[in-house]
This record gives sequence, C-alpha cells and structure tokens, in this order.
Amino acid sequence: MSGLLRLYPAAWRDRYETEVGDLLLAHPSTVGDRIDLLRGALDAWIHPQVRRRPDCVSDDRRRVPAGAGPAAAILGGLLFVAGGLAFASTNAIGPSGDADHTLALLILVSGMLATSLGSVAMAPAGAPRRAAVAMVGGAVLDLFPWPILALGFLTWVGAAIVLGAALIARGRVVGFVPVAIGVTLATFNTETDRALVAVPVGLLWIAFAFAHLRRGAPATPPVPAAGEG
Amino acid sequence: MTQPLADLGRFAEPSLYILVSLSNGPKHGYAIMADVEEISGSPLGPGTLYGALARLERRGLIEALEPEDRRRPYRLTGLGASTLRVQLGQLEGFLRTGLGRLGGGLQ
Repeated sequence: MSGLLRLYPAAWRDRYETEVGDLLLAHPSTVGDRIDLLRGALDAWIHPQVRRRPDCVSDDRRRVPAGAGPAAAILGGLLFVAGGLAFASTNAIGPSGDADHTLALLILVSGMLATSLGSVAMAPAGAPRRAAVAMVGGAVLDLFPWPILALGFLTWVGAAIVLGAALIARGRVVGFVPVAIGVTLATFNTETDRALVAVPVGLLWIAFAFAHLRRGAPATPPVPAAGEG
Repeated sequence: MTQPLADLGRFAEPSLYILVSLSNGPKHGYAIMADVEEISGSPLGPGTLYGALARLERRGLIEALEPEDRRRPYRLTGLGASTLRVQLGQLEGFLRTGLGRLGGGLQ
C-alpha cells in the first residue's frame, strides 16, 4: 500500500508521505482504498496543492528548532525594553552637545532584528512570513544612518502591521499583537519620553512569543501551487 | 470573507465532512476518517481525505499542528469555522425548504 504513495509528486510526498504512510499502517486497507489512492495521486499531479519549496526539508529534520522563534522574539522583546529605557534615561552628551543615543539605538535595532527573525521562524508560510521577512529588511536598514534608518524603521513598522493583519485574516487572534506593536511603535520618538513606548512594545513581543508557545507551532502549510482543483 | 466549498469539485462534500469533524477539536488523519465515516455513514478513502486536507489547508480553513507521536493533528481555523457556519446555514435553509415542500406535497 505504501508503495502507492511513490506515485504522488515529490512535493506532496515531502509534506504528507509520513503521516499518510502511518495512517495506512493503522487502517486496514481495501481495494477501494487502493483505487482511492491512485485517484488521489492522479489528482495531485493534475491539480497540485503543494509546491516543493527550494529549502524543503522533512518534518523530521527541522533546520530551525521549534523554540528558536519564540526565543528570538523574547530576546528581542527584552532588548526593546532595554532600548526604550536606555533612550529615556541616557545622560551621555556627545561631542555635538546633543544626547548620545548610539548605544540605545543599537540595543533597539538589535531588538527589531531579533523579533523579526523570531517572526520569520514563527510565522506560517505565505503572506505572514513574507511580512516577517520584510521586517528583517527594515531592521537591517536601521543599521544605516539617516535617512536610510528612517526608511528601515517605517518598513519594519508597516511590515509588523501587515504581519498582524495576515495572521488575523487566517483566523489567528494573536495577530492583533503585531498590529498593536506597529501602531504603538509608530509614535516612537528618541528625543522625548515617547521613547518609553519601546517598553510596552517589548512586553507585547514577549507576550506574542508565549502565545505562540502556548498554541503549539503550526507546521508549515502547503505552499500554494499554481492551478486550482 | 468565506469562500464557498463548491469550487472544490469532488472534494466539496468530503471537505464539509472534515470541517464538521474538526469543529469539536483537533484530530489527526485516522481520527478524521473514523469520525467522518460515523457522521456520513460512508467511508472516506485516504486519497480523498488528503486531497481534501491539502485543499482546506491551502485555503486557510484548517491548519496542521506539530506532530504527536508521528501523527499530525489538524484543527479548524477561524476562517474555517466561519466558512462552516455559512455552509451549514445554507444547508439548513435548503433542508427546511425541501421538507416543507415534501410535507406540502403529501397533504
């Protein structure tokens, strides 16, 4: 029976072969089941629902440990808190006479990068993960001086909101957290007490990570393939 | 916005059964098959089951969870629940109309 599974496309087998194989072992199969599997194989070729990803790995060989995403998000949240406090409390005066926020900025950007990478690891494939990747791009741009920094910041904020909206569209209420993060952080200002908004933002990221841990990470869903059926 | 299941072709009915099966909690493939057979009275083949699961997953109506003892549970998403609610509402209206006409015809 499991030999029939080899008739399915490689992308389908990468995604479903293990669990279907176990089902066939547990379920007494009939001639009708064999015919049904043959029909299923034909359908999988004619109307592919799963596209093979370039970095496809089997579920037994995860390249990213399941806890890595939440861990990165928690670390990033803590960096946000630290960065916000650093901005608000800094008393260092740079050569120009203005307050020197270099360290605080570095901490904050590190937080943006960590939470972005955590989001990439936690987000389901599709629009949420693309938005998370855009967040990574925004965080990287923040390593550059003004005005690229401003562009990076706006990119990160916008992508966080898109990430949340994409999660909400999939029925995941936790998506409101990235939306709240993006909206809140849009009011961030390094020169005033508004820098402290990074603190609740950091706490929201930590809550987001724990919410992800609590629900159980969803497995990578089938990548939408061209064609319908 | 919910997407009708009708465009799933031959997988529309199995998909509806799967959504109903998952409406009371996550299940793995074998449990879905057994539950659907109990609900519908007819068995669901593994090829049809996973053809429907793939379509439902692609549309975001269900999502796969992490495997437990090599068995991967699936669960209904918010979108899946609202889609199921719409579909069952339509069926209810159809059922009432049919029974009403049948009852009127017998009188």
